[in-house]
Amino acid sequence: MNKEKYAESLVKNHEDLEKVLRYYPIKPETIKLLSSRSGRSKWLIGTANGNFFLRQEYINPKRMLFIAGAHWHLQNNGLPIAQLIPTRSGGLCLSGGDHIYILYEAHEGDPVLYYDQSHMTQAMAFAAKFHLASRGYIPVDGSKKRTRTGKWHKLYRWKLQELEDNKKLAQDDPGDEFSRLFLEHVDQMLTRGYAALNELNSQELAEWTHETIESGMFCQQDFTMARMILKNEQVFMKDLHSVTIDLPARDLRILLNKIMKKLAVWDQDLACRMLRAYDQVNPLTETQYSVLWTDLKFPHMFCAMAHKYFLGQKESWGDEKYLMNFRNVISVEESKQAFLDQFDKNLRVIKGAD
Amino acid sequence: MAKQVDLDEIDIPKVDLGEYRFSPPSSMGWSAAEYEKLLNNPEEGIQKETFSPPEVPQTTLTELSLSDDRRVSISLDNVPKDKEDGSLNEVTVEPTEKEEVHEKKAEKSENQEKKEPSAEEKAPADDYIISENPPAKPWLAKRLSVFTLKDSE
Repeated sequence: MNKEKYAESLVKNHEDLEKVLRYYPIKPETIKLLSSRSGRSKWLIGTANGNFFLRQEYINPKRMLFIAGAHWHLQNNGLPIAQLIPTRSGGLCLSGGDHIYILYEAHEGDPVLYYDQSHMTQAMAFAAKFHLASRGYIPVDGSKKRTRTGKWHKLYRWKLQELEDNKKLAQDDPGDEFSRLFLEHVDQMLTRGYAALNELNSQELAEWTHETIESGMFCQQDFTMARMILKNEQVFMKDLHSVTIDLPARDLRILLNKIMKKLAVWDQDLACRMLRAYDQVNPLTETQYSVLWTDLKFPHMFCAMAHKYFLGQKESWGDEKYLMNFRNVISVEESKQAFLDQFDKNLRVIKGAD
Repeated sequence: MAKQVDLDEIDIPKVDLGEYRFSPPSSMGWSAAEYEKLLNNPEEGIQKETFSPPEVPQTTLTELSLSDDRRVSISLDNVPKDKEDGSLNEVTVEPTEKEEVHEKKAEKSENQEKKEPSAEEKAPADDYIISENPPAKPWLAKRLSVFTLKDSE
């Protein structure tokens, strides 16, 4: 496409977007494309009264209504989150059949850093606020929920079965360095995985699952600092892409694993400090923590890395990059064991003992 | 190995690995072949990769709101009304057993929910003005701070 044609297509593109923006109570002055990939595009809309993000996403509109409803619920419950802007007629999002539009305030602030312990404790306190604010959400009829509560058994079984299958693939290619490393650790991970699976039969999980469904609580699903900023010295959510009905333990597990992977080792003190920050806002019971321990015991990171490798999920990664990441994951999973073995001691620290 | 749970209890589709052949990615990854092709014919690659703004389809947009009576459909320019996809209003989702429990709770807390400001009530009539500050502390809404599971029963 030459320059002239590109300029023409941009003008047309902005005209089309202005038609979409007519649904909203704003007067757009500037439109700037910020990103466009994987069926998701985001524009910065400048107005005399501030900036907004317009997001276009190729997603089932019924699913988006569930997410937008959750966003609306969170902001009404006072969570520090970019305010969703309803259309002039009160619509939370616009459906184009196979795609949607959603408009919300554009906020700027300092980044939330994974390598800053104070930021991470603040992020955990935010996660607790998120879970509390999510309580009482009643999705509108016709919206498509995503539920993971009550499906943990199936998910664990699926992952363990895949791990067994990947073991066969690795055994077929013992000369491959990744496969060699995988085979060195896979039995230990399978043992941990099956132990975690057995623990899912506990009454504690059943009770927490029931309680979560009753309370209408949901999870953020993939807590990532890319969607957070620091604004007025507190963590602020600038984007919400997805939510899932699941136990808060899922968000905690994902956040802890993500941070420890960046540190390349499981830092017990940091993990306790982070959970303490969470617990001060949304205290969990001992039995709820035991469910979190089970989920941390399951080798989610090891399974995910093997999945990526044996199914060729990251096409641009070379063998060195795979190995580097895999060694990192193994180091975190192995060093996590000491933390898992000291449930009582760590729980006391989380609950405030020095 | 602590394989104490019967794997046949839950139905999970089995993958037949018989036909599957795995080959390691090598130093340049599995996409290396694609990259080499691009190096052999850069002109073609550049043309294919040229950026164009994301498409904004000219279709009827349906506003999705929190309740049926507030769903309004307005067609965009030059789009006849009869092309409108109103399927969302016709959708009926059969509740699962667990969802039914939740819905019973929802009915019980109907009065409470009515107090929550609706999207329509909050929809500004004129220009929307952004508040530069996040919600002031205490951040938790009064309604929620007194809401407990016990209350909802």
